[in-house]
Amino acid sequence: MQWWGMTTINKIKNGLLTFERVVERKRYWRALRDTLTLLFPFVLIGAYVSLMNQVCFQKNGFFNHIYGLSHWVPAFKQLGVYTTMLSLSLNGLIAVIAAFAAANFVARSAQRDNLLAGLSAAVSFVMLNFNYAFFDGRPGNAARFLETNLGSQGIFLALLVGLVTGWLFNHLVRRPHVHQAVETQRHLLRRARNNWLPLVSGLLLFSWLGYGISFVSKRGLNGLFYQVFALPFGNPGAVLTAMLGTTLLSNVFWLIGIIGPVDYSGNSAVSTVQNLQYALQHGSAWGAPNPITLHTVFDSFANVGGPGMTLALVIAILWRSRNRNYRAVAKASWLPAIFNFNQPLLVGLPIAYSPLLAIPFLLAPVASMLISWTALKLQLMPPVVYPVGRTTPGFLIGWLGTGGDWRALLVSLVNLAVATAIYLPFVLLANQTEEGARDHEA
Amino acid sequence: MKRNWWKWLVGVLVLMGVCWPAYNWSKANVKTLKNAGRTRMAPVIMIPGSSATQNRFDSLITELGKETPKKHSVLKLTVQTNGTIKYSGSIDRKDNEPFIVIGFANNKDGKANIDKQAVWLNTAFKALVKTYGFNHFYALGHSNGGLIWTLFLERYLKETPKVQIDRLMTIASPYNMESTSTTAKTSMFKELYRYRSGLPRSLTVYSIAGTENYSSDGTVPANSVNYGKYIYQNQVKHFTEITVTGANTAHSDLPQNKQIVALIRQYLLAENVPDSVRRQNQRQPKQ
Repeated sequence: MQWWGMTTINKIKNGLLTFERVVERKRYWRALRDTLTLLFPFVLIGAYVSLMNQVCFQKNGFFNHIYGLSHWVPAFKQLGVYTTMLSLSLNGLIAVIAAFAAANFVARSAQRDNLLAGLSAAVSFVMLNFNYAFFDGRPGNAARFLETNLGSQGIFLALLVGLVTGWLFNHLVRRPHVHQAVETQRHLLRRARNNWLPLVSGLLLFSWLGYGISFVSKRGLNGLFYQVFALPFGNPGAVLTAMLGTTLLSNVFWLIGIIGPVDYSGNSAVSTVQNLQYALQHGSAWGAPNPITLHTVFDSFANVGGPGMTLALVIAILWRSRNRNYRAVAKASWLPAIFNFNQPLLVGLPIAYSPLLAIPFLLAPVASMLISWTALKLQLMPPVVYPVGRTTPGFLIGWLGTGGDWRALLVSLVNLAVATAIYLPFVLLANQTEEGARDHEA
Repeated sequence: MKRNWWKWLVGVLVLMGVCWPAYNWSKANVKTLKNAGRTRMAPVIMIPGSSATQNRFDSLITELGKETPKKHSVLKLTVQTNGTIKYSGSIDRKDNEPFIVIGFANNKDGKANIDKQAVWLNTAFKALVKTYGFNHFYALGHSNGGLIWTLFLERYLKETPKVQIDRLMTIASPYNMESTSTTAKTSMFKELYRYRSGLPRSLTVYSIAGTENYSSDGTVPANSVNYGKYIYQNQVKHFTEITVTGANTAHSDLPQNKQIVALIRQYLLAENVPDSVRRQNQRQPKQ
């Protein structure tokens, strides 16, 4: 019996590894993964900036709450302004870089003019996010571009624009591009002549698309995307299967770079406010009217380290991984992950577009939700009722949100342990991909 | 081994250094929340007319959002026939003037239904007060929504004595139902008239009538809107009737009519509107 079990596990294991290797060889898939890894340093710096900004120098930041930073740190307000600027510039334009990088990698894989392809994709992507309300002439709508779409929210669309532009360059240019050691003006001009067709057709395609979309959606193609992707997310109420389905879908979207189409508005949902009022009146979280909601089960217990329980992944990697890439990324990104910023892990490992890590990324939150749901149903712990900042370390949210109930902290730690156990086999599998790759190279 | 020992110690110390103040903060935070309540909030509660849903005011809310620097968050309620409430949307923590739209699963026309809807409004209102703990609110009713408000203010608001209504605006509310007559009184009007002494004394009321021609907005007769004065005059602090004519004055267009949006901004929301809007609303001579 056990022998049979082992062979099935081995089969699944080998299947996954083969799939991962086959997928690695596809040109566009590779370009996608390479783009994400190229983005890693920017996203990492962005995460540390967000960490400084949102954890320390914002009024509702976790460290400001607990250490009262605003009272004794000199120039607190100026630091807040400066770090907000950094955050908006770094994280707010990351999708433009993504569009550039994706087209760049695709064109390079077919020996086409990768630099021109990248630049063309970046311009196309920005054009796709033009704010047509600009022409209304209202004073409030003066922004020329839909800035929110240029940040991490827009990564999925940016990758798509990059891939399409790269495809255009690969198929509309006959001759391969030869890199010169020293560029001459003559060669640069020849590059323009060789590549005018994909350049012009890409720009035309995306400008028409953007203009067409503006008649349907005011927030551009991205806004339309988010509307469609947010459709399945009505309020799932207190039904476990509905909650599991909604959150699973939300995490799938994270995996492909559609970051947070769903705003559960956890702290301000009616059920949460009702719970809070009850707890304030009765002096206890026990017996709150809505013990089971997305906020009390998912927000508070299944997002340790950000969506996908990614802090568990960091622990699993630092503990047992021998994959040097994994270790390097985890060592750089554990600190933001503690405060629920997992974007460096998403693009660095990458988790996004990785068939191997996608499985635990989706399963771990489900396990956490089941455990928390059971604990709430059996009344082993009170529900989270008090407001807790978004940047509170994930494993403390249950504890602080219940007004300091030790049982909730225990559930959080159990969740983290179970999630680590779920990630561990996949992290160990990745050891083998590393070794396999090395064999391949050798 | 020795190095590991140090790492663990530092880790535990850091954890303690975070957890202890965090625990203290959460205790202190609960205490402040308890003392503060949400008394500064004064929502604008809107009720659509018959056969309209909780989404009826979406275009009005978009229209209002275009001009105002202040973002209003929107909460929508649907009261089921058994008195349970479905919520969608949410109120931002920092929003002191959120919009709340209350719709009814049974949103049919007719006196019997309107009587029921006033009771459902009371259920929803009490739930809102319990959840958000506000002391003041503003009310907006389109068409029969204005009648539901009137009934509620006359008969049920006193069940929540701590909460005060400051301003009510009704848009094309047929106080005498479909009657075009200036003398015949419908049973709906009689009921509203009978309980009028229950209206809060401190209330300011604006009743807006839309007219496509001299007699109606296509659905509600202007004479029926005029009957509001028999109910409100001498009962509330101020009662003002405003008639809007011109483009987009068909009954169902009224809530998003530009003129009426301007009136809502100045009178109901008491926004600091620009002079151009003020002049348009009050027909003041140019200075």
